[in-house]
Amino acid sequence: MKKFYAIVAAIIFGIFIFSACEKVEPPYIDNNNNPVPPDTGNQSVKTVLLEDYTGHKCPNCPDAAREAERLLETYGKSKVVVIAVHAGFFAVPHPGTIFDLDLNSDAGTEWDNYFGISNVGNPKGMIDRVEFADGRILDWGKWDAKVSEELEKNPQIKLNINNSFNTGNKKLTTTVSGQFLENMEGDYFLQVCITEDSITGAQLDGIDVIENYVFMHVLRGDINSAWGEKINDNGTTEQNQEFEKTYSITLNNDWVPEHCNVVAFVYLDSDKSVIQAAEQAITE
Amino acid sequence: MKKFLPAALLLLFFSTVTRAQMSDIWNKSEIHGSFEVDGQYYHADEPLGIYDSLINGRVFGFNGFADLTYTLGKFSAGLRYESYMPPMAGFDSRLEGNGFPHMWASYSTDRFSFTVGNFYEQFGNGLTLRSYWEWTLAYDNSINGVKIQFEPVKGLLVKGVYGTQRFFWNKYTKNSRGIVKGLDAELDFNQAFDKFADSKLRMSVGASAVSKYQRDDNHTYKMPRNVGNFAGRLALGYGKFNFNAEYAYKINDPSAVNNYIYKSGESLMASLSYSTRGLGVFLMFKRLDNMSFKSDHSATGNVLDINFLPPLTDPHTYSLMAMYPYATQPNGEMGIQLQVNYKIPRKSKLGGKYGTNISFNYSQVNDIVRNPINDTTGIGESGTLGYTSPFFQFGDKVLYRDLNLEIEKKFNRKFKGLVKYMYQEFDMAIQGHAEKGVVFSNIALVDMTYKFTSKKALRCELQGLWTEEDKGNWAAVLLEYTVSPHWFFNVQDQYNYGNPVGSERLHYYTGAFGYTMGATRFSVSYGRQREGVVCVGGVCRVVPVSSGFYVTISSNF
Repeated sequence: MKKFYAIVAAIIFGIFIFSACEKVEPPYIDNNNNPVPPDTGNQSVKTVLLEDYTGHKCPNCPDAAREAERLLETYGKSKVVVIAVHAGFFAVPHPGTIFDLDLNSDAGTEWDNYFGISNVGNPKGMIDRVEFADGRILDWGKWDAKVSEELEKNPQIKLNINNSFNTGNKKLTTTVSGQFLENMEGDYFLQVCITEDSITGAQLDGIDVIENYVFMHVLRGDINSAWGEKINDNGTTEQNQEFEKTYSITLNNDWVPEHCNVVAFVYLDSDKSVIQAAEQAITE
Repeated sequence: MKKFLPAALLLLFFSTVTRAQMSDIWNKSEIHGSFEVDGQYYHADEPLGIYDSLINGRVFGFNGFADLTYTLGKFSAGLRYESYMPPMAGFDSRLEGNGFPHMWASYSTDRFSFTVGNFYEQFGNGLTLRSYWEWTLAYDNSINGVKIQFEPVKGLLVKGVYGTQRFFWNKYTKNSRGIVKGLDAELDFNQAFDKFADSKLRMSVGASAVSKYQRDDNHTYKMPRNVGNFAGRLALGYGKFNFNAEYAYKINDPSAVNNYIYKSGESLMASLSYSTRGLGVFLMFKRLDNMSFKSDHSATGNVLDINFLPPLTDPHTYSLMAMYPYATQPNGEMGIQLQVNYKIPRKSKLGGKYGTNISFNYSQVNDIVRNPINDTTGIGESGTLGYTSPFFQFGDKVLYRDLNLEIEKKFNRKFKGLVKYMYQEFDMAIQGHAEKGVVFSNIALVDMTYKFTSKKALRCELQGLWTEEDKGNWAAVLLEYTVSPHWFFNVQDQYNYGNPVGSERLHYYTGAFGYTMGATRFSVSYGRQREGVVCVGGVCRVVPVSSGFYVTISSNF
């Protein structure tokens, strides 16, 4: 009887072991798995908002930033808009040290508190602020799959940004216009904010300190409050309904206009999910 | 009709079960459980950098649970309610919510045991699989599925598990995370074979195999959908000596933790101990290389861990000695630990009337050696084999070193004391502060207890930490008055008097009292919580600085 049990056990272990493993042979990069939908040249494409919650003293955050850049390269700027939100414990500036750079913003801190992201432990991010089956706050390893998933959705709104910038007085006037592409229910809000690229400062990267790290897509602040402005009435919206909002602000002297962008996105207030995003450089 | 079905079944059940049977069931049934609620009220404390804007209206944090287990003969079932409304500061915000995340039922016979629902399990040391719950970390990687345990012959225990792991409150849906399956077998020679039954040699061997399945949803890399982790273990005992060893091998498992490299993972743990009256010696070796094993390749942090990587360093409980706790480095570490416990006999010259206990511990953890796989690929580069690493070679970088000596002596019936010294090296990169380099510290403490009567005692703790790095020197004092078996009162202060920044030379004071009645305990404290890291078994969470009241009530029944 003992032999019988031993044989049965050996068979079960054998089956298990052979079915348990999958050795991947090089090359490990998957060149044939291109998820990018073809760019039809149509203005009304779905554009995904990727928010990367980060901080200069977060040692794993550069991995996430590199992933965001890779996704921009893979999908193209017409399909992905990135905002790097510096907020929480890892983003606290330390005057008198090389980590004295303050990249926090009121809107970023407000969003971070609301969604509870840095509390989870950065780097973390959100893709269109959608609550997926595995959560809304996502590790960077999930971003690619979720961006791809969001890009499969049909665009529900067209979104355009027109900027006018006076280099003399640093006054920016931005007009964000949009058109709903289908009948929709719910309250929709337009959020407009400013990001800046190519800011140099110290950043932890694993166990190394990079003194001249280049920060990209840094959220500098909101233009129309941390939660934006409502763009429809009575919770209903009809197909082809349009809106247009114009805002004027004076850029902070520390910001480099040539590196700044206006980012706009529209979200459903009830669950905060973003249905469309857009980005436009200030000085282009 | 569906509405009435449960009621009809209940009616049928009660109509067929006699009153005597009901009485019998009632008498044989047992319910056990535990209960705890922890609440924290926060207020602004400007010197600590806590402003109302930071608290943002969330002035109260609440963590609570109730765990119930019902047994009736061979049947048992249980459930646990948890509530984080909202979670206290330092706990993952994804915990926010309440409900029953843990429900299970089990039936056991002499040879079989079946469990369905949420369960915990461990194979060997946990290198391939360990699911467990640690309340202080709010850590729970329980498996929801099926567990079968089978003892075909005496001394041979076979276990199998199949299921998905808990991820906060998110229910498993198709492809939302991986599926875990595992087998384990352990053969105890002394029980299984007659000729070993009375042998002085005690021996057992074990083997485990765990695999996870996850859909390949990565558009950049070719991901293995099935990743296996295998281990073999041996336990030998002869007289006063014991030897334990376990080796684990994990095939390619690219993940966010290892930066998507395809190198296999390896781990070896070995320990040798000798124990006799008055003397215990324990020596341990550990090597980990790329051994993070999660049921979601993109997950980071303390979530969805399938395995457990046991710690090697001495866990400290005194506050300043626990200031720089070591966290296991799943991507690679190599270490040794030596522990010696000796009791100088009673009525000897040094031992005195009651004897004297001496404990010595030395532990050191280094990084592993990483060599490039070729001339053109960076070490640890994504989408490659990452690096090569000689198995028995320690890396040059010391991550942690701890040498401590403790002497405990009872002087008379009323007075006893403990003195302890520790030298510690701690690489701040472990806490994500690589820019701070290595903290070299000397820590000393005295812990004295004086009994006024058989029920009333006063304990005093004095500690000092001296370092030129990080936040500089600290001093700590604690006074605790106990009236057994019900009351305790204490006040304590930790003072960062050596902080290089003058404005940060702060006191972290706390006052507390508590009442214990049987298995129920109630305590209230007020004061400041310094920023730090809490580790249990090498798994850590960050505790942010806070100020306010802390209330806890716990009970077992």
